[in-house]
Amino acid sequence: MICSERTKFKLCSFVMLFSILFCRSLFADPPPPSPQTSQTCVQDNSGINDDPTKLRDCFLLSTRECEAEEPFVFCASRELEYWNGLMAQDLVRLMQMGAEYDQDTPYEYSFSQSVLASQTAWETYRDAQCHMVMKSMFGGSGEGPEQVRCLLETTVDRVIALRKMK
Amino acid sequence: MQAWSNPVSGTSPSDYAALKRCTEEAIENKRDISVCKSTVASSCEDTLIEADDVKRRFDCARVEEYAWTRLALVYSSQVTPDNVKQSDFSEEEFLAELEQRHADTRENCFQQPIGAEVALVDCLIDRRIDEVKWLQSYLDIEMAE
Repeated sequence: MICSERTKFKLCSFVMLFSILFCRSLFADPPPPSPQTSQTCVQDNSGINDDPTKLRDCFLLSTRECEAEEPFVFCASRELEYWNGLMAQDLVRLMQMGAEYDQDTPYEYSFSQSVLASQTAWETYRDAQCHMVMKSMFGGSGEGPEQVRCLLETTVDRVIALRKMK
Repeated sequence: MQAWSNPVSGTSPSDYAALKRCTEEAIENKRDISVCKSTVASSCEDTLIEADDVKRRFDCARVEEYAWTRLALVYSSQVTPDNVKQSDFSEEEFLAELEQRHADTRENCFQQPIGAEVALVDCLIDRRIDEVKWLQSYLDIEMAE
């Protein structure tokens, strides 16, 4: 009987320990989410026949999901990093598209040079625009979040503009 | 969260020119381009002396990060399909690796805890430097070991 009680106790302890460890592993500091929702949305709207303007629907999707756990600026910055990467990849694709034509063209007149010039001008616009948006908060706590939101929004629009070129 | 309160974006043409000059000199002298890290940030910090230390370091790190991002973009504009073919990669493989590098950057750099924003931007800068080095390998520019 004692032996049986001991066995039950051991079994019960084991089950409890396992449950605690299992629950801990479920709730122990999960890795921060990558912008998966925005990424999936972009992939779903990146077919050859898809309208690039549909990418607007992907804007802030991951940030909205993430900000339940983390501050908006951190979440939006991570999503911004995703869109910045996407923009860089689209720029490379675009420049490679013109590479064959560029073979016989002096560099300063090349297609890739025109893409770079356009990108430089866009960056100047983006920075001025988002600085204005930030300043419209007149020193309030919304300055940072509004500026990151603006950077994200203008970058999404830039990706759409680049995709319209293809 | 102090540092996030007023992020700076973009890089001036002179910041970019200084970084470009530094990397070109490093390549010429067969040195690792990592020696150019902080070229932009240190001159920026001299101009923002009125800001508090954390904010100054964060803002200037972001300006530096944008300059490296621009440099990576300029390098990638010079990688032609011929360069890629010579390296036994298809154009799609090249673009897939570029995409993977960006995904790795997000996974690695955004692991920083809240409050460690300067470290986060520093991580982004290191990843951009790696990207420039990777692009350089396609352009057959000799680099220091």
